[in-house]
Amino acid sequence: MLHEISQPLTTMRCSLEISLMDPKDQRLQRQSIEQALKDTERVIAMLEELRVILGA
Amino acid sequence: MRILVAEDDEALGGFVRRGLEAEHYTVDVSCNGEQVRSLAQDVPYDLLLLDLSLPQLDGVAVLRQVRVRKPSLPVLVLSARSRVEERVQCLDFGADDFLAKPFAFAELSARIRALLRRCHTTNETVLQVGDLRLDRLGRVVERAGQRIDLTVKEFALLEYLMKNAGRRITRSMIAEHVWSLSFDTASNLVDVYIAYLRRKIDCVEPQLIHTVRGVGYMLTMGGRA
Repeated sequence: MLHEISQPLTTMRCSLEISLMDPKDQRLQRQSIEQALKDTERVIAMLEELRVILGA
Repeated sequence: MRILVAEDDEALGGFVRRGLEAEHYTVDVSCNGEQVRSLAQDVPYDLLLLDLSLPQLDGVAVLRQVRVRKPSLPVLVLSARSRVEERVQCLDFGADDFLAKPFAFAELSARIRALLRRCHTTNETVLQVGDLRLDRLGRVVERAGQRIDLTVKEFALLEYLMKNAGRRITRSMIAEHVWSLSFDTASNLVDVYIAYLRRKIDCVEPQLIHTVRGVGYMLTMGGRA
């Protein structure tokens, strides 16, 4: 489970970093924000699963 | 410098491609282990970025098979599984470095530069034809000591021409190498970019980029192509 959470975190981190490399590229920035939202949803779903497993 | 990115997460592969292209690398991305193995064995890449969780053929198997045919290809392994035994296993199977997820792009990029520095001698990193000099790692181009600013694609195109200096290069080879596109899609692009390059590189004598009629182009010091 822990290594699965690493995947969306990597995508989020890299996409945000890369979008800052070219501040003029608004399309890239939008793609990054959308990707970060998707990845946040993935992390939340994994945390929910973990909560159920731990019975918390 | 041409890098193969093997990453099963399509979104991450796409962003890493954007980031590396912005740093002047030519990048191919594949999310299928079998395809990665075949590309890494057949195409002259300068570095392989290998995620371990690939469908069809997992990353460790890709690594072992690629090593047999390409003993000196620099390989940087990426993995969300970061147990010591896994890192050790990868290094023992021939990986040159290991980066655990979630990594920062800045660190990935720095490790790629470090690996390329270690694995290439100055002879391979600095290309020189006459008074034209291209530093593949420093990404600097100079002609007669004057620095020339090139875009990412212009740089990749010039690097490819200089690596093959004195040889006739077809438009389809350029399209495939610089844009990872088929000739039909990119034939016009190639001519357009050659024209851009000529304006920046060949505004002084002697002319270095020559048209080879019916074939493509050749970069050479010696007059006729």
